[in-house]
Amino acid sequence: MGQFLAKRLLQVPVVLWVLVTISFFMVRLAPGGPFSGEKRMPKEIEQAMMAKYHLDESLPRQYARFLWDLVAHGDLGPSYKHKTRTVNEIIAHKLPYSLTLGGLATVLALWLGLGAGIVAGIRQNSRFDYASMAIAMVGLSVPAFVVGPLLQLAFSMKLGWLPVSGWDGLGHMVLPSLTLALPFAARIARLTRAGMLEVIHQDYIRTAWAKGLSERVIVLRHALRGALLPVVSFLGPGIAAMLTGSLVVERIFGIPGVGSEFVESALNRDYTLVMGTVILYGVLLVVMNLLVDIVYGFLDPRIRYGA
Amino acid sequence: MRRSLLILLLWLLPLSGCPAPGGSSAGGPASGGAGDDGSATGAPASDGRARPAGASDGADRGEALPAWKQALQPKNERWKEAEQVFTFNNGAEPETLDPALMTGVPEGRLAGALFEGLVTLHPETLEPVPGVAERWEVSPDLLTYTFHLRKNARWSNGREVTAQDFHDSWKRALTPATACQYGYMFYPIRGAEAFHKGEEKDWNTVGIEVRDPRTLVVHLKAPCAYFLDLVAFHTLLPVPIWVVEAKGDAWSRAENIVGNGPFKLAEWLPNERMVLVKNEHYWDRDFVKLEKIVVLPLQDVETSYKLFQVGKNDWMTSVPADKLDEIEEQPEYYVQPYLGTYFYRFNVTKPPFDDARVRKALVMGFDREIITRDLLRAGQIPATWFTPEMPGYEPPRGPGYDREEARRLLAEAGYPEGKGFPQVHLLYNTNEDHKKVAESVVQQWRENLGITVSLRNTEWKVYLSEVEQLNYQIARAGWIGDYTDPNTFLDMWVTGGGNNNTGWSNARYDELIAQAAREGDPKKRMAIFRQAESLLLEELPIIPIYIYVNQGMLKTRVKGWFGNVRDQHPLKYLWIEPTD
Repeated sequence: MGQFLAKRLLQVPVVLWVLVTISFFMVRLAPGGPFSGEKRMPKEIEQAMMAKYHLDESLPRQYARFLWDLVAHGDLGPSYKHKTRTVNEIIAHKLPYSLTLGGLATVLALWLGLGAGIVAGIRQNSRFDYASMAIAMVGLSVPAFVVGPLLQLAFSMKLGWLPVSGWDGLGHMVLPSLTLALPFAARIARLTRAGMLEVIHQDYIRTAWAKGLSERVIVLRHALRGALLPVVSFLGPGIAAMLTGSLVVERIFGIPGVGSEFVESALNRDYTLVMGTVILYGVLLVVMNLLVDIVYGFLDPRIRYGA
Repeated sequence: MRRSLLILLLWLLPLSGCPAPGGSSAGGPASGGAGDDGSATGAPASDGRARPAGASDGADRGEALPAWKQALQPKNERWKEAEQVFTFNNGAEPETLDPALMTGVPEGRLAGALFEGLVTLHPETLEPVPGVAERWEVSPDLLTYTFHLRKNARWSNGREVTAQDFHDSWKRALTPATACQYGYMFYPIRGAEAFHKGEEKDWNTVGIEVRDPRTLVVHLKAPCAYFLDLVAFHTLLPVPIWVVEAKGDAWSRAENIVGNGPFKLAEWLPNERMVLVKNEHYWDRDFVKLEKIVVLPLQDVETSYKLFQVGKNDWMTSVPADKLDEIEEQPEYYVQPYLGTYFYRFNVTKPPFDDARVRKALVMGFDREIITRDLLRAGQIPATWFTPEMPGYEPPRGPGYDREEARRLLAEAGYPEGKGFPQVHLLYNTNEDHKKVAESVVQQWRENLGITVSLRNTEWKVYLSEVEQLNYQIARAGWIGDYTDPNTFLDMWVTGGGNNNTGWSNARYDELIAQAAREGDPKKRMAIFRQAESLLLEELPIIPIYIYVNQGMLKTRVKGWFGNVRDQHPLKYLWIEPTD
């Protein structure tokens, strides 16, 4: 296990370096630049701006400068769009909102998804099975830009229970985290159900029944461990995605999270901020996948690392 | 019918004097005495010349308010019963609060609240009214502007606002390293353009002069009818230069910023909200009624509307298009013509649009009414001209919808019934509204002219770069005036103009625009612009489509807000009436 971990940890910088390098050049290949706008600037001023941000240098030099600042100082540079703030600041400011929202969404998604999936799995073809899977189908196929406004309409406008938008306490978090969690909950429910169905007919479950164990113990201790494998592999990228948030959810509920920067920074050609978001997501994804691998070892006795 | 009447009214209302500076006859300096404070300032000028050379408002001498300002006051004291808090959705997170660097509308809305220029614009008529300058004089040759600063103008930390502050701020904005994108707003000032472009390094060549701490003298390179309009623009606002020097780019952050406007920044949570409170050092604080302004940066117009409905948002600066039927019926809804034009560009450097007949055929080959009346439905004005109507300027009409004539022209150019017409694309930036318009135009061309034009949409920055490199055949465009003068629309079409982007070039046109810049007489100047625009509409490197409108919703309890063609609504003049 230790050896496996060490190996994986050594891979992380390499993976991130490849990711960063590809992104660095790809975003600069896109037509237009951070300062292109509807009104053309005098050439001299554009040059002054490019010079200010070292964008007048050759690409390899820019790349070297970027990598050096990143590795030596952990500095991602200034944002071109939000002119008085640095990328580090923007991410540091916005990430906590996203982590809170994403954390809540993760809890919700797991609770809804696992609950529905387990029951549907062990009560296959029951009414609950059909109903929960139908809801899951809806959760998967109806996009957030429909679900969000509908929830607002029902709970904020008609019932007046929850605020429309903003971020001032728990009340503000309910609708956005639910909107964010729904498609993930649906995926988790479907994966859990499928996993349960597969496991529940295996020999070791029959053995457990034969031993006279209670259904509770069989389901939670024996079946669920096996059934969770596909869920766990989905949770790696799934949680990373929930924690980084979503442009749609953030816009609808007016939340200053980091999710919208993934899209907006690219549209604005805010090169430095693009790199910041790429690195953020990259790190999260790598860490989550590492966790998944570790959890695998606990869930499935057949998986032995480094043996 | 009702709507079109309303629009007509709104359209006519703000068309009071685009103030010609002084008017040469009245060029003598207004005396510094007390009694002469611009009584004509508030009255709409009939011909754009009636403004006195100097305008002042006696506020700092403890006199009665001038008439124009009196008219903007509440009629009674009821407002004192209401909580003076105003919340509005600004539509986006401001990129910066540095007035020299800001370029967008959301930033512009805040600039005038946090800073005040030498002159400001009247909230209804858009005429220049005294700001930090209590009065100003224009020399008889219209080349020298002398601004007299009021002695009680203060920064939000209590420091005096001086002529040197304006001098230093303007010098900073014009210094190339500052990279001020709207530096061209200074270009009427002698030497400003060369200095801004780095061609001239010597600041003393620029016609900005501090005569004494309360007198700033500006020398123009040529008469500029709209110069005061520019002085009111955010690029020419003063910045606290000592903070800029100490903090660099970070000076405009919440923790550092110092302003001289009616409000100051109390809190800024990026992408969440901004809170402005009344600036107790502001010279005109007694006039300011709002105590607090909450600025939301919501991009989602549906959310903005929901907040409006539950009373958490007093002003929406745009409305959800698909709810227009519902919204139109509400008393809070407003629509006003805007100083902006929606049009298409032709790339005239390549066939088939190097042929003026083909361009004209396409211009005449579709009905704009179908677009404004059936598709957009918000009261946009179908236009066959480019410059929106403005004080003293009635744009000439270009060719409108005429199916037969369009077909004849197309046949004459060698494409009878559209036969042999090459494969052509219409480029627009990805957006539902642009798509709707483009689809209608293209369909009408197919039906009327028998030509097939395909649509191509790209993301914004790609679209910009395609247009700039003339890598298109027809491209969608929009233009919003920077100031209320035809020049802001017409000078873009000069040969090689930075925003021309059509490849069109006409020596006669260039000459007319240059001539207009030299002309001191407003009437003659407008006539020259008309001539230039007629030429533009004959050659048609563009397809004018409609004049923009601004739509929004404002709670009826908010007063002191006026519709105008520039969509300028200075927050200083607002107040809240109690709801009964």
